[in-house]
Amino acid sequence: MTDEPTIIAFCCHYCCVYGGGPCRHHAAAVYANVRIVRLPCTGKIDVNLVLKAFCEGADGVMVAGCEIGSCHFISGNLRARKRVDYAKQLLKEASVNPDRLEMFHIAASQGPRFAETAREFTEHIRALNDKEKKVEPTKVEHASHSVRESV
Amino acid sequence: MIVAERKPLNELYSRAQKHDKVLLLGCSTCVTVCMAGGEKEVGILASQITLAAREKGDHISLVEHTITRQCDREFFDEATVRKVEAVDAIISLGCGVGVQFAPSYFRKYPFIPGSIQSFTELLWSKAFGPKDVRDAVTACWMHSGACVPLHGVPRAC
Repeated sequence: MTDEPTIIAFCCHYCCVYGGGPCRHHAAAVYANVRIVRLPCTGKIDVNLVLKAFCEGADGVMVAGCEIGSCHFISGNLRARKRVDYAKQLLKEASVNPDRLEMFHIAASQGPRFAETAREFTEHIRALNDKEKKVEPTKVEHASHSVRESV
Repeated sequence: MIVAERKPLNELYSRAQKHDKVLLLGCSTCVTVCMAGGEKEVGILASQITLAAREKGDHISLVEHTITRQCDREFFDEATVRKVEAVDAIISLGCGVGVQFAPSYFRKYPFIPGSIQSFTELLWSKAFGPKDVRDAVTACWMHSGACVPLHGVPRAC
């Protein structure tokens, strides 16, 4: 399991968390490396949150929200899409392959599709890992020494 | 009114990689409003430098800190002083006034300007007094090399 890529999935509470729930029993192998972070809406996603996930050692980040037009908060998934695009630009500026971050729109009733998407994304990240030799994240002390304080 | 934007990562990274420990100093007032150097942008820059350092195999230890204003000595409290004294260099994401005023307060420490901005004339006189404006801007120009004279008055970095 050591060469398995670590995927952080930021999931909307109203669709993908419910959609992904029943699939855990059927696709346990996928969820071994996909770690779900539940958000009240993908509109809650922040660029800092995505970048921090990469800094902490994630190989790939997927943001899974409602289908376009069916967001519980009307436009949260559209805002998330814009932020993901912005985060891709920032990753590219930092010499990280922006393909390691993707956004998906999956409805609550599409549990199997969520499992399939997670599996495909894992394969995609695994291929990228093989292509790009990853340097061990322990070389940078930012994660452990970073201090966020505001006076 | 302050209008600012952050300098490109390559420029900041090339200056940060010369130091082992770097403080990213943000400002919670004008540059936060124009999304150039507030607490959130400090976090973004820290993450970008971390990721870039990982890709290039460099070792840079970062400390993030955001104060209410960099153009007023009232806000340089003990916690800020302690953090400044503990690092090798400081990247200031404050505006042209802050990036001048903070080094004038912490004279021994190397400051790296992290933003490009304009329209500072009103704040200059409050922070420095009107007669020091030209000296401060000239020093800033020498420090960053990014300033452009605007209508006969040098513009801060």
